[in-house]
Amino acid sequence: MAFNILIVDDSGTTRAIIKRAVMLSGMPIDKITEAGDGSAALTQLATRSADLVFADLNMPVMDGLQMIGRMSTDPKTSSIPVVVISADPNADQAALLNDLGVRGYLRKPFTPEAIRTILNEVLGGVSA
Amino acid sequence: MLSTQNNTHSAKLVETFSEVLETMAFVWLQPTEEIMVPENLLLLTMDFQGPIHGELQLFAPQSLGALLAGNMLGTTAEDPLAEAGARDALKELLNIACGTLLRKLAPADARFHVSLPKVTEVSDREQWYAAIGRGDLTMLDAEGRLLGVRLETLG
Repeated sequence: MAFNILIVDDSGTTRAIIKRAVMLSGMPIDKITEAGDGSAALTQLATRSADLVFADLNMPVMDGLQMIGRMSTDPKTSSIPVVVISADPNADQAALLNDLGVRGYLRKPFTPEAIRTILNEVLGGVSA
Repeated sequence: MLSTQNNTHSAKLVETFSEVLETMAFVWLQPTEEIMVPENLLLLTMDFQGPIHGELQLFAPQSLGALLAGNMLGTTAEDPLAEAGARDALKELLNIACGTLLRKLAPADARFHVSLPKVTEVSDREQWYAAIGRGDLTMLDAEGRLLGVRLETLG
């Protein structure tokens, strides 16, 4: 009944904040794993699935948009909900991401409460 | 031609960095007239292209990064974990401030491409004083740590 969460961000401190917020959210969490870029995330997802992916956009090696695009075309990962957490300045980014099937969008700086709210929205009605 | 419109944007820079630091790391900012070069000074930069293009610069001491990382990680600035995360925390500060600032400055339908933040050590004190001498660095005090921010725009 507990969820596996993957956090993808090139900032270690941001990954730590998201991880803390997830752990304090009240959702049943089994495992939280981390990746520093889109490529490392896809490598992880090839061998271990996740119930939700938090993804930054502006990352080295492979950015978030590329990663989300690859996930959407792979049957193993296309159904995994993605929530983008980004400092991206483009106001219409949320709408563009929605077209890619992204389930949520949080702008940095975010509050822990925003993480809790989005977790409940995306996973609240799901049995892991 | 590179132009610095820092004085014009100074209020927006203060507003942006205040908002980001308070939300991200519970650190409060105020403008200052202090100019003494901080110890272990770093220069962080991010460039952007769009309806306006240029570079956002942040001069900040390593100790500010440790304070931010400590607050973000739920520990103290003196914790080795915070020290290890200091530069990363400063890069993330610049990253978030840049996105926030560009949304304040540009029309709602503007599209930007932003770089990844870069960090270098400022080993020559003259670089700091030259930046101050230009008169376009907005000086801020973050709970006793001095930082300077500048927005340079092209065109």
